[in-house]
Amino acid sequence: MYLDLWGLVGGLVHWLMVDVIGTILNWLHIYALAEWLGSPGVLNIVTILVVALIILIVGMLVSITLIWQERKMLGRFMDRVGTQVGPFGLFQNFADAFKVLVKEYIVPNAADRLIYPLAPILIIGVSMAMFVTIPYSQGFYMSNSSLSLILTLALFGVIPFAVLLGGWASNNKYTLIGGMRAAAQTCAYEVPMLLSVASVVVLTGSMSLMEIVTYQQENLWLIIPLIIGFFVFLISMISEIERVPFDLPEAEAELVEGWGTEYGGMRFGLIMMSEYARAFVGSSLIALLFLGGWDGLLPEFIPAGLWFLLKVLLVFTIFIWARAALPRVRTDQILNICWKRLLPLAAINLFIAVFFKSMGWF
Amino acid sequence: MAVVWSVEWDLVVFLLIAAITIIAALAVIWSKEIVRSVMWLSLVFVGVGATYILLGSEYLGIIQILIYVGAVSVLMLFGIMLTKRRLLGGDRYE
Repeated sequence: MYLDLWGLVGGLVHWLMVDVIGTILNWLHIYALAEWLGSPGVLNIVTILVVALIILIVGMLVSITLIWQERKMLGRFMDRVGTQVGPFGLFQNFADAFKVLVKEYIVPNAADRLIYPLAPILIIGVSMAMFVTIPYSQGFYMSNSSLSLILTLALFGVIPFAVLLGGWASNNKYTLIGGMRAAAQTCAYEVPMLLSVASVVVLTGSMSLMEIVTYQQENLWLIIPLIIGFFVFLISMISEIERVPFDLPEAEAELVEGWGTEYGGMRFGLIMMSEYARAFVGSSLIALLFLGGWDGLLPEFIPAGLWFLLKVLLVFTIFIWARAALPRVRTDQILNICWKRLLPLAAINLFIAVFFKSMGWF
Repeated sequence: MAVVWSVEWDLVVFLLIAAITIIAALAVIWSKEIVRSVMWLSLVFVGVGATYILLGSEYLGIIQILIYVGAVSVLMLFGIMLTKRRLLGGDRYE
């Protein structure tokens, strides 16, 4: 059971533009405009815009839910209550967002006038652009490209550049150190991440997220043959989205707030939002690549999108657990973990995938 | 008689992307600040990637963005480390 988003929105747009507005315009004797509004090209573009808006809103709502989940669960880990505004503390994030929204916009005196405002826009834009490729179920998706996996990873590759720009443009030594750490760390951890993704691509023979999930529905979840790759991808993804065991770029005990120190008001809010947007994309990538996506029990009764969101929340719970349990990795250890531990493991995992594929077992 | 408009949208989009790419490439040379040059350079690479996608080679375009824009940040690290610029006070352009 799943929701056919494109069919639903297409039908609604057709009904609104042709049957309602078209009838009114015909009644007003404006035939040319009615015909133009009812033409296939216009209907198509409006449908695409509405679907994009729905995907953006759903992605942002899920990201806000992740923030709520993190604050609530961290509260439980630390033996306190967590967020309290609204039922179950659900409205706390909206209250916080409103607070940062009304704050004053300040540019530091020594900041670069062009790049300082540009960097958060770049970061939030790239993070939101990643929602495009994530399918929630067979019918609920924005794009069904054959290259959606590699496009998501390419957008992840742009993030260190934007972070470094922001860190440099603030003209503060803490932000510059944080930006340098972010660039070094995320560039390094992309290598084992891409290698473990390569093993998935070898087994499934496709770079489309939809087809990878279809393969897992027909055969088995890829976490079983590629258990090493799953852990390598999980750790690299935690590092890639700069969460706690690897949050050196914003180590609040050493660098005030890392590369985002000089950003205040809504820009700080956007940076926080983009971090959780990337956390959502990262955990949904893990769910799609290794945990079978929307494949679940009782497919006739429980919607596919619900299974997918359940798996995303489960993966994010692992992230929160790691944040609550583990201390921060030291600066000199972080690249050792990547190059000396994760990279050989990713290579072994790739060998295993090639072995399985060449033996014809999968 | 109504005038029949026929616009080649592919050509329009191509000219737009080409103009952005060329202006960004000129800005790489004209910027005094090295990090700004690097920022414009990344825009050049994104424009080239968009051109590849427009020409129907999506894979090459995505790989262009994945590799070149990723490498640009490393280039920027070298640009920051190997050139002089005062942090926290002092003249900005010296």
